[in-house]
Amino acid sequence: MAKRSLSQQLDELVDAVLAQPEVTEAALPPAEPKLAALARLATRLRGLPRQDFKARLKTDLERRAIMATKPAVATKVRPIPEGFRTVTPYLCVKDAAGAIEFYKKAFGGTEKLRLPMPDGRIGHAEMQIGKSQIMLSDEFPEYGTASPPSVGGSPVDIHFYVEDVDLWCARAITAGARALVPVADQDYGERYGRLEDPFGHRWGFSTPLKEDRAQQVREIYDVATPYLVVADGSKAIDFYKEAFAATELMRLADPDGRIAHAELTIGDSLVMLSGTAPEYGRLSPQSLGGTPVTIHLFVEDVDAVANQAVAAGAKVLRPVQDQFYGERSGRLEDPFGHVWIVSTHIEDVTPEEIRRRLDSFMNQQTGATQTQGPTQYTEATMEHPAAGVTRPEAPSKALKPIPRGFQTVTPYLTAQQAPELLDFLKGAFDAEELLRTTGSAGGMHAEVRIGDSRLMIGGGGAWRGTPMPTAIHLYVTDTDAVYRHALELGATSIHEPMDQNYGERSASVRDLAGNHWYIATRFGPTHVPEGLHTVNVYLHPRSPAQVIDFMKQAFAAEEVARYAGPDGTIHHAQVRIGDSVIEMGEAHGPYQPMPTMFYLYVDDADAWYKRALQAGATSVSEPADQPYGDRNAGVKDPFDNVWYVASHIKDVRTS
Amino acid sequence: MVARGLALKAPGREAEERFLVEAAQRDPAKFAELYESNFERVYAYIGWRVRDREETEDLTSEVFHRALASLPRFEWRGVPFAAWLLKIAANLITDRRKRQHYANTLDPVEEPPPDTSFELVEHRTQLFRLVDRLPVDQRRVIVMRFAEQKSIREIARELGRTEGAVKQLQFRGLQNLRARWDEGNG
Repeated sequence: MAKRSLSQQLDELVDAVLAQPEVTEAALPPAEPKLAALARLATRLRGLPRQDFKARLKTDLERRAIMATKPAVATKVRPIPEGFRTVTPYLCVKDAAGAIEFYKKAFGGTEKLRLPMPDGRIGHAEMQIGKSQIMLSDEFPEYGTASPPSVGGSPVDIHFYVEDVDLWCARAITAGARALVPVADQDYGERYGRLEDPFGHRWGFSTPLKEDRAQQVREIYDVATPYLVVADGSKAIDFYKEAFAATELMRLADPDGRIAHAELTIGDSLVMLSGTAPEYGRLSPQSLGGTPVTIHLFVEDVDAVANQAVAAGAKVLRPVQDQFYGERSGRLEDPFGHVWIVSTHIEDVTPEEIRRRLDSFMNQQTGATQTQGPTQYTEATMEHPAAGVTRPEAPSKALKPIPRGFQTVTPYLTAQQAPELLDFLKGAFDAEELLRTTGSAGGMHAEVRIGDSRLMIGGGGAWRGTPMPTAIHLYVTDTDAVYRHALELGATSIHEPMDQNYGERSASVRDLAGNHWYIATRFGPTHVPEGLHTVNVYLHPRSPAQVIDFMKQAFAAEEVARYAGPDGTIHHAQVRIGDSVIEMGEAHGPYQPMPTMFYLYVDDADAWYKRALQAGATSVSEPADQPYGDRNAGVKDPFDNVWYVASHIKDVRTS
Repeated sequence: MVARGLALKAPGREAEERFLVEAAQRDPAKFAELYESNFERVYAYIGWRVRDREETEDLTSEVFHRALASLPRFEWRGVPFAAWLLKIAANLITDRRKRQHYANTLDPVEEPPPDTSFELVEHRTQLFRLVDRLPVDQRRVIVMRFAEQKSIREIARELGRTEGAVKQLQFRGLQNLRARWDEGNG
């Protein structure tokens, strides 16, 4: 009879332990001493916490702590601020100051809030028109917002049910609006007029002619209702139901199924939509290439709604985060091209306080010598709900033509001893060699995979370039073992494995080519922290704030985290480009600047090359098609990092 | 009572802990560090008192939320912060027991445990922390098996490995824990 293995015997003991709620150590079934000791351990492990519980509770507490730091927050902050409904239209206009004056005259609006930017443009303004709040801002091409003339029209009408449509339209036309549809009785039982204001936004006004309809809409008299044009009405209705829990009130479809008119409610608000009707100038965001009207939604739980919308197919334009103006919000684009800001009001902030925070935020952005200022806002984006629109002409952030297996950012290590370096990576870090060939400068070019990431290695042979050793934050399952193994293979130690208070065990080594490897294992359910990859580049610039600014401008990088000391020193920061994160900490001690070479996969190498030059980089190589199937161009930034922006245009690789 | 048991356990860390508490009193965002250094202990204590997992999670969550809210009122008197947390936990458990007792008067109200039990709680605390430091595949199996109470078969299916391999990982994980435990206490 085959002897049962030790692991089998132990599992039987574990089963016995788990089977009963109250097994004490004394009551364990008999076993040999070694196994009995392990079984005793098992009895104590029964109360082991679930991994996600600890993390979830931490997030809850952090959220609570952040809210607690905000002064004068009464315990009851309404998730939907006083005076707002679920839906608020957000208009982007070329001359916001002029528009505010015009809307006062044309619609009897009153100004509630105005946030001017240092350059005089209006970053955000709020007006009351009728019983509704309307948000508006100037055009900020740098944040992707565009006004009707820039978009070439608008796929959203602002519609009002009113007591007296003639009065509303006449007053607006006197102020300078143009009639698109003169006021007249329509056969569907409403008296209706449609206007275009001098800034290109479109407004509709209706008075019901029949008492039953008047009853239905009386509650929303003088309330702004967005009227969306979508390419596929019935799909859009399905999407809004799923994403925003919309309720369908009615739909009128043509015989061929095209939606002529539909009404939904989202929260307490009405939203109307129709299919395209080019003959009436009703075009979808897709055919216009954008939208100058964003729909702002106040909801109880922004994270839940945003997740739901993304699950339904929305694209994240700006992830949900706490904003300095007292909201937690994110910006999404739906599959039909309409843009939504989903938001929960988390703090009552006075207009004065918003202005003060905005000033201190702008100072930090411009790198002015500042140290004070509310540090908890450094992670907020400047992008006020203002940012209305995606620009069709700007390079989109969806970096698509990335060959399979690559992430947006791939570090390119160059070294005179490239082949030896390659062997070291294979031995020490389990790197898998995917490609080895001769590069254009006569050296070796190789690509390896480590975990979920790739690395490029170049140099050696006839190559006579300047080596660019790089610092890499490398996540492994067992820091101690990898560290020991790297030393055995000739690396030198920078520091021994130790537990770090930021939740990792880490060790550092320098390899034969001078690259730094910060080997780390995250404590917790996964050894790689969320959002990071196996391989992450770590920079040690002298002025990280400037490097971050450059990356934002050149590569649409997004600052994910920044930890600064009281003197303004940035100890650690993370920026995201596409799906990758680059980390950095200000140069100190053994960690001096290591200019790094990056290979960046983007959707349009030419556009990003131009954008990088505009941001202050100098050209290394002009855009050109390469025999290996990429079109790429090279630039050097003011901090001596080299960036190749590349689009994969043809499959010639064998990997 | 709670305080004495723990004060004996952790004398050297007082200055550091005091610093953390005062930092969190000034800036509640710093509470995260206090949470990290006390989560396992609070969970182990509550888990040992109430046994039911849902209730343990519920109470653990309530302890930390209350602690965060009452932190400004916490006064440093040389008593470990953990003792304060466990006091909150003990009170919450007693409250609940009383409520349940009134609901069902047949159950006797359970007396709070004697001091000597805190050593047991400390053992579990250390053990839970050691689990976090296991190599990832061993840790995964230990957590699925003991925290999520899954069978070897379920774990094997979820991880795409054979049942033999999972048993082997469980064996190595427990062995590893034992070795690290001895290292830390021997």
